[in-house]
Amino acid sequence: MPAKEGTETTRSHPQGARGQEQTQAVRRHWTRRALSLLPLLALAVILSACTFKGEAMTIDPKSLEGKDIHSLYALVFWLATAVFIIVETMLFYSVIRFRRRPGAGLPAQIHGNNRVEAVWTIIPVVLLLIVAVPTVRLIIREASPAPADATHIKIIGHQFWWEVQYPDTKPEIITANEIHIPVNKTVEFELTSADVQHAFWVPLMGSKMDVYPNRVNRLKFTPTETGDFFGQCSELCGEGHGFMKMRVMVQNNNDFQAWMMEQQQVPLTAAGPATPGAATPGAATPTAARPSGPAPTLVPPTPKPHDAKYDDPALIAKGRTLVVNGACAGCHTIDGTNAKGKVGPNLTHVGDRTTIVAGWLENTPDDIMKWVHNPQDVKPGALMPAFPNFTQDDLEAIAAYLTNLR
Amino acid sequence: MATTTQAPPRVIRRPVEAPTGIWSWLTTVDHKRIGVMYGAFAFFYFCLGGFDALVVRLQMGKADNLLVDPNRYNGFVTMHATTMIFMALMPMSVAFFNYIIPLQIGARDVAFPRLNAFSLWTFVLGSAIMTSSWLIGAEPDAGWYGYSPLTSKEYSPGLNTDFWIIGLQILGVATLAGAINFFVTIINMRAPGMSLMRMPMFCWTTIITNVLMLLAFPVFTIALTELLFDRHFGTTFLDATKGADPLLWQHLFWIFGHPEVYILILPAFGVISEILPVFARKPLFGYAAMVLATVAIAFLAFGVWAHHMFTTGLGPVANTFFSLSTMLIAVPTGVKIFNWIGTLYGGSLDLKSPALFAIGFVAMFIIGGLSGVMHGSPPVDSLQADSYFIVAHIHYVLFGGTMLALFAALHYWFPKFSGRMLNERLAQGTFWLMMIGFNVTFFPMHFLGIAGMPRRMSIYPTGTGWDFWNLVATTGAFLLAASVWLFVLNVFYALRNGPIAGNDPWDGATLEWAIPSPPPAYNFAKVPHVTSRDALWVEKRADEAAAKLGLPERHLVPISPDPHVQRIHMPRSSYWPLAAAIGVSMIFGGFVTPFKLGPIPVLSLLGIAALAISIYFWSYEPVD
Repeated sequence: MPAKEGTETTRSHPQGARGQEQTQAVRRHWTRRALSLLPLLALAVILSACTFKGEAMTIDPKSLEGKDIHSLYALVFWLATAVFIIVETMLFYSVIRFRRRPGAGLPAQIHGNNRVEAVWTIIPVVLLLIVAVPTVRLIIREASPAPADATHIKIIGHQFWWEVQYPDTKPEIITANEIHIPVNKTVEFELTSADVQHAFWVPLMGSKMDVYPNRVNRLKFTPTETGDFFGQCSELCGEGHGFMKMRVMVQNNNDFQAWMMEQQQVPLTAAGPATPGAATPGAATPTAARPSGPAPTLVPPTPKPHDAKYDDPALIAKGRTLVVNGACAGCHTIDGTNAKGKVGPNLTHVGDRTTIVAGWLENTPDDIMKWVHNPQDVKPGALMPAFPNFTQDDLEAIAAYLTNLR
Repeated sequence: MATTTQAPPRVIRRPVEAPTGIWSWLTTVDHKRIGVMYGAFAFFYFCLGGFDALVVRLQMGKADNLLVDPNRYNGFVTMHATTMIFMALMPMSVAFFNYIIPLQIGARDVAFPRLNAFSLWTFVLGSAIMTSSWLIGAEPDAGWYGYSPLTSKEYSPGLNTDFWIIGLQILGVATLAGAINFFVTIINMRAPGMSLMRMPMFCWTTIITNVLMLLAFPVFTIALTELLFDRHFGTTFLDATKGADPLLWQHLFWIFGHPEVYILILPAFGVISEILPVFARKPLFGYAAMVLATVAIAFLAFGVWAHHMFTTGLGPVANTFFSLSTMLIAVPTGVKIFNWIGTLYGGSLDLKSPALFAIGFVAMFIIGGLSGVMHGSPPVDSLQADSYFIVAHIHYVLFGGTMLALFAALHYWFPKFSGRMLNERLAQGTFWLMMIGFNVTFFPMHFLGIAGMPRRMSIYPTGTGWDFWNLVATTGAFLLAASVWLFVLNVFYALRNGPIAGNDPWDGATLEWAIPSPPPAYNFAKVPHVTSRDALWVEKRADEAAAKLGLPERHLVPISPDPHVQRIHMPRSSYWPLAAAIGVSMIFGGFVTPFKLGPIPVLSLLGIAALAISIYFWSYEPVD
């Protein structure tokens, strides 16, 4: 082999040896066939990419702002695709057409051509203007103030969960990781962080926006469809970054109002039937008593049904004691009780949420027990301490209490 | 220099000159040996960074994967980027500056040979310190751009971020010293007759790259110093809990970071501009436009940093400005692409491995450039920022761009370094495997970004629809790794068994091909007198014409050493660059040691003393 390579690597002289010409012809034929397969392969990849379904396809946005961005993206994408095809064609044409042929002499020694160079400087400028004009227009549109009837929501990023506040409601709704908003109405978010940098992104709603301590960033969108949308922290924020999810629940206006009403009352189970007067003053209005009967179906995204044993009042009462009088109260708030901690998520209506642990676990008694028993096991980096002293019975009681905080 | 005849202190001695042995390598100031060492270390770190990447890809290969725990994963992600950018790609470019630039400008060494050795050893020690963090499980893990406040003492209490700071500071010293050296070398040491506009394109992109380094790295040094002081001396430059603006770090970082992107890509542009004309047997199309485009890119590079910050809430005015300046930078970049195609058009293209890598570079860089224009539009960027789309983009630019160009350069100049040819068939196999592996790895990441997958998640749940393309990407990463091993195999095979290359195996156009491979220590037996651009090419064509007329050949550079060779003055070896590099490393290295006087590390004090002594002895070293 070295000898053969030697002849290849020394300057090739046109020898006219027939065998060599034949092998070259065969090789060229093979190369051409391989090249003709390339577009097919590319087509296959593009087709398979088109059938690609995901939970958060940014090319199928569900908000007005997302659709604006998408139409700009589509323009840029198709322009880039056209430029890609044209320039790669120029490149491969030059490569294939001007391959060295046996016996070829020195090609014409051209040093440049001012006219051609001017043309390929000006064409990109024109193409970029086509992108720049709608870009600047959209930047200005995005900066316009939100309409007066917009819903205001304050988001506070924490390692590694999202605090959600509704400052316009009275009493103020404070929840975590699941953001309920009405459809066809603009929501304006005020974003800030309690610790490090995070980034707020719900892909189907459009833009992402970074979340900083000492700064308030604003982001608005107007969802056009009801549904349950996936979001995720998009800036590395520490060990638990990958687990820092959220859900945006876009509801029709009735469902949203019902949800708000429910959130503004203290759950009956919070302080327990024995102490009905323990509710925070002003929190529970007489009309806001939990509707009996089928009312909860007004709120479609409800947690999965659970085993009836977790509805045992005795178990719930035991759980209440453990949570409200125990360590949990140091970090969590449950309205209507003595639990007033501000470090962790507000748990007043945790039973209404579909997920726990910033969207990582489903809200089932089993998952609650798994989480409380050893948070670091479920979500490495979680700042909630483990409670190894809880027995299985304790954990079941806690799960029963939390599940029924609704 | 020597104004008196007073004998220097006797304790200072030059090392005994030796052609081989470890000591000869440790004390060498020969730009070629330094270049080879730069290249070897950079390639080693390239493999190490590649290993990090494989771990990352394995973790991402399926949903809900528990292979790597999240902190380690953050470490692998951070160290992959840090290693590749600062310890592999940049030093590998510097390796080519070292080996090739003096040869291309007809010089016998760089302007400051001992400073050159100092750059090498600070790079080697800085990289070693950064990498040693793995040994004590304190690998940097706050991302390669280390956004505050995550890097503050409060949120990163371990030594991880300290290793990152000091490693980068030491590497920054190496970069700055090298940048000064190559700037002065190219300005001052060109052969007679080589005006700036007669320089090979690689010299142009090198000098511009070094200007970028000189202007960009001090900003990074300041940012890192602020962070170091915050963490060790209680200052509050970046401490958000004491009211600092968390955006300060980002501005400082990207004012450095965006020119850094061009520091990585401009040498690649130079390499491609060298290779394509040689294999097309045609001069570079639009040389003057290429030079102007390089200068324009470098100038604009300082006006686009905030396009890394479109989602930070800078407001519409800043976003508009940085969007337009970013789009503007696509124009000179486009000029380069078109001029390369113009170089190929009408040529007589020999598709040898260096040409294949160079063409592969152009084909892939077009993709990276176009996705770059997409992010230039802030609304579109607000979807793509911090998603896998950006990961795809950066790899099309830094692997499909810089790395393919560096492989082109390795294949092109290997005969000059070693005197032997690589096996062409293996080289072509490397190329095709690398192209397939690269595209299979990184193209699907565009789809993942479009599907809303943020980067740097250590784990993703099932049901997101991200599993399939992640698995494809992971498969591709292993193909890519295989192609790198194929190259390593080829190098080791060729070093022993490769055919002898001779001076000029590719019919080159620049001065390095006029001298033996590998070149003698003094490079040029007689310094050439340059009368045109592509001097060697013009000379060879003139010789061919002369031969037809029966006239004798002329030689640009006499190939056999001339009888006066013994009087060529070459810089002598020295211990002190290595000693000074150790001093610098001790100064910064002290910050990860527990022995302190108050807040000041003892090792740093010793390092200051070592550096001072080294500089003193360096200054008074006898001049032969």
